Amino acid sequence: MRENEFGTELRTGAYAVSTSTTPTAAAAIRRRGDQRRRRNAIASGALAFLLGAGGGGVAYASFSHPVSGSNSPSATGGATGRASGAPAAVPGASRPGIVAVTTGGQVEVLNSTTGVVAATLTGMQDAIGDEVAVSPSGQTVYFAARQDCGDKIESVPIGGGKATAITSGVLPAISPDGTEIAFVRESYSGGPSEISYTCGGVDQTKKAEVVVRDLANGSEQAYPAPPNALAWPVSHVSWSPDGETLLVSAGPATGTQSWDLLALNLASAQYYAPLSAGTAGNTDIQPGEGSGNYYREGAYLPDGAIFVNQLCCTSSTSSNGTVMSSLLLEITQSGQQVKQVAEGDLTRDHTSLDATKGWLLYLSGNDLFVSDNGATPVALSSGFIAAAWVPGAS
Amino acid sequence: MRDPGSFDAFYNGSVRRLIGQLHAMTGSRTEAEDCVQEAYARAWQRWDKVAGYADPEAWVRTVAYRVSISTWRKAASMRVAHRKHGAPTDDSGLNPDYVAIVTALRQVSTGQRQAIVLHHLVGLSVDEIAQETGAAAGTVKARLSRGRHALAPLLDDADNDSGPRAVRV
Repeated sequence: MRENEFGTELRTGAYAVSTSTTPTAAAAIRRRGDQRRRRNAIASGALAFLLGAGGGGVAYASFSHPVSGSNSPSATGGATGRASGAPAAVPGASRPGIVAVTTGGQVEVLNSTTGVVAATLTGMQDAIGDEVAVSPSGQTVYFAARQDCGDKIESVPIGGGKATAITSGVLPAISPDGTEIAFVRESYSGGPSEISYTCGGVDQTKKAEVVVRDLANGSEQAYPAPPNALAWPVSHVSWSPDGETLLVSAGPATGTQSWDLLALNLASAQYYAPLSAGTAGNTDIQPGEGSGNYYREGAYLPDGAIFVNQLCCTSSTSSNGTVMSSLLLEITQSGQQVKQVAEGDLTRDHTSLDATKGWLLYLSGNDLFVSDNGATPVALSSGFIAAAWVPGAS
Repeated sequence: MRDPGSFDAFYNGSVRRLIGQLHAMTGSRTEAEDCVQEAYARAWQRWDKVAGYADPEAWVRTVAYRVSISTWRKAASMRVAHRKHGAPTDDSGLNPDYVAIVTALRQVSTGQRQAIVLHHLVGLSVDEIAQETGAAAGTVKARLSRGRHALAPLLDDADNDSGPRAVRV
């Protein structure tokens, strides 16, 4: 189905639904709202009484609060569905900490055993995702925040404090030695080529570029998108353990393309397959099986292997006869499978892949999963758009 | 002070449109009507504030969408629906192409589905979707791109009339 046909069919069908509907009378809706309002008032009064406030001040308990200065309701999920204290039965004696960005835009530090929030580092809507990173010392958290016509990267001490703006961009990733930050500067790029975005009357639709910035002196080196990329959505950037290569997860520019996992050699400024280092070019890392397979996202492990989400299109079959799959794998740099960590949910995006010594994490939709050394992942908590390990923390 | 007259005018002028939009997001007429009515009831609860917003319809649409993805509400309404009507039924009478699109939309992530419907059906720009959903514009673009990529094989199958296919969950 073509793009324009899709939109036309969608609009025509939804219009048919709307015109064949007999809505409830407005007065009945108002009565429903009034009943809810009275119930909330009673509940709030009872709660206040139980809490020792005397019950005299009846507060209006709203379900979803509009954002200050916004016409839209606030993004919920900061605490919705999150673990409330029961330890998750994840194997392993000690583990690193976790930082995460909630769907409500808060940066939080999590207890990686229980999923309970240990500290909140920002206010609601401060962080936009899609990634969060922590310095090798475990002391500084980097995240993206909104600003005018673009996004910016900020840092905040993991112990709490004022956020500091670093530069414009998204998807921060800190080098293994902690001296550089890689990120994507995109001016709202990353979408399909047919979608244009304007801000202040200026067309902002253009390719993204990977940038590596020296955190000490602010000098930057830009690595523009490969020539064959159209608009270039990037979802993840991961440093190799030796600090010489960036793994870049880049998305489809059109509906007929798949995601690519590109290795960017920082010395040669070329994208190439890791084990084809001598063959400069724009070759992506190809999955080892099935021509329809592709890697949705990947992140380096400390030993140089790669933790990936591999999607199969139509060329693979599994034991139960289905023809599509989403696998979380550990692979070598040549694409050979080391182990299968999990089978993902096809209806969800698997993002924010991260690895540290013996531990893997990823998001399945907004659910946070952790794996002890590649063992079956365990759902730790939910309500997140980004997560990362805290190196050195236990 | 809440003005019933202005609420009724707003409701009558927008409710059908929002039910159509929520149908595309949820794939169920019953669920769409239920979520939209709940959202309007909440809008009336705080109509003194919502009426002053530049786009109250966007507020109601966002609340309705959040209601629709509430697991608790879904489970509760499903039990009620089963008691009232038995198993869910399809929307007979709708264009098969539209039904195929809505069926495919239910197989992509909620964020992707929301972005696609807001862009292709509601007609919002990337920036407007970002504002309505609280996501970065770059994220919205990626969701649109990823969503369409995920939809492509599903709709190709529908075009080929290959019948229902098993999808791993």
